[in-house]
Amino acid sequence: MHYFKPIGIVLILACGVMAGVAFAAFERRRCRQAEGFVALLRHIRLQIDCFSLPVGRILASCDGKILADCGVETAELPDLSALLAGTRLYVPEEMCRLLHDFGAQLGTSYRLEQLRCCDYFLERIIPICDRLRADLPKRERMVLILPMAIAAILVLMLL
Amino acid sequence: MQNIVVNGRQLLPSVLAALLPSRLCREVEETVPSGDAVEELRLRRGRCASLTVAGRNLRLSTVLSGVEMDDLLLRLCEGSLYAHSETVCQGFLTLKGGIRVGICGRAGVSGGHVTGVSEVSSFSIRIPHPAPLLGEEIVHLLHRLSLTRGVLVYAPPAVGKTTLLRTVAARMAGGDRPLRVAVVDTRGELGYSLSSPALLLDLLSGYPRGLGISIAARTLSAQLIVCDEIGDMKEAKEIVEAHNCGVPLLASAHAADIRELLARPGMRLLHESRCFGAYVRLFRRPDAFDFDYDILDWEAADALL
Repeated sequence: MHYFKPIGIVLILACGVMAGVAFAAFERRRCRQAEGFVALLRHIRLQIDCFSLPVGRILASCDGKILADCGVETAELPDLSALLAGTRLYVPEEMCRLLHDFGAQLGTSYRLEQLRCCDYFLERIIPICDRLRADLPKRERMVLILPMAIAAILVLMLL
Repeated sequence: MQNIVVNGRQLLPSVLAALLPSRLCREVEETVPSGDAVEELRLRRGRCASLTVAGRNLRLSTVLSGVEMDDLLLRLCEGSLYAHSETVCQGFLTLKGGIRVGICGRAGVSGGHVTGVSEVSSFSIRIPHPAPLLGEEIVHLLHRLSLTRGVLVYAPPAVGKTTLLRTVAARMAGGDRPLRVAVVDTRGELGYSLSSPALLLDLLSGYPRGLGISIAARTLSAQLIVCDEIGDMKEAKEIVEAHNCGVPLLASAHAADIRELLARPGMRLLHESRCFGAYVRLFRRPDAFDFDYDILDWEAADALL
């Protein structure tokens, strides 16, 4: 019975470390997904500008790495709204809203207007992604240290 | 996918039936007389839809609202209106299977050019039908001209010029003595039913007519060029150039009679350049999918002018 305490301490510390690592991975994934969607929107804009491909074919022709970064499992989708509906979004709420708005209107206007629309949404989404990327080191440190610190405090309280 | 099939006949192609409202498809099924095929379906914003069957117009009771018409345009464009900007602004779309959809509505205009169409008011959906046995006379005419001069088929709209051209292209590119046939398919209608691997056929899909004819003559070494709905002066000059390369052209044009046809500057240029050895007025036989031909050779047409 005297070894329960050390085991408990180790477990608490381990949970703290694992929680920190998981939260840090979440932050990195969030940033990667935001960058993925920026790359996807740029790809969509380029395909419309150069080839005027329908949305379904644009998504099907997209690089697998971009789709993987976005967290998309399959590109066999008719439109961007369907893609967003089938993907778990980790990006900030504001970016989620912008992506859904873009998906809803993609394909509903003529070429010039559609390109302007792509530019409008890219102008709003790129700063959000840049902020996420700039804040990533700070947030990673915070989410890594905070759970470990909480675990350490718990251990001290138990001792 | 919905198929409208009545007594073993497919009234509407499945690709079209999947896009149309189900109540409309049901009414088509109930309205089309037995033994007839739907040639054209017209949808109008806030007005009754109609069918053309064996040359007769049949009014339907289905009325599509503005929202339904706008939704239908988006579906016809595969959910990507921008992908079909150019053709929609020219007044048409082509679906799989060579189905041509004429479109009109409220045009956005800039610098004299249509930049967009909103509030679509009408769709005119032309449904192609395979007709492999047609066109024997045109094939003989081309051979009689020793494949040195072309043939121009003319008629008012909706007589069957495109169907005839398609059939003749297939016959000339197939058979025991096939020719190298280049089909300039600007509107995506001619290519329907020309997919047989046995055909010696080159399909220039979406190319502007003049450029397509020039490419066919200069780089594809075509022995016959087939092209639909020629008309303007720019196309005429490019056709004359192709003719000077020695490649005959089988083409069609809208006109009710030869005088009306040759009154146009572009057609006059082609006539004076002797591009066409014969002009064929097409007549649709009543109650049958077959044609009568009124063939006028170049000399006879020239004498009328």
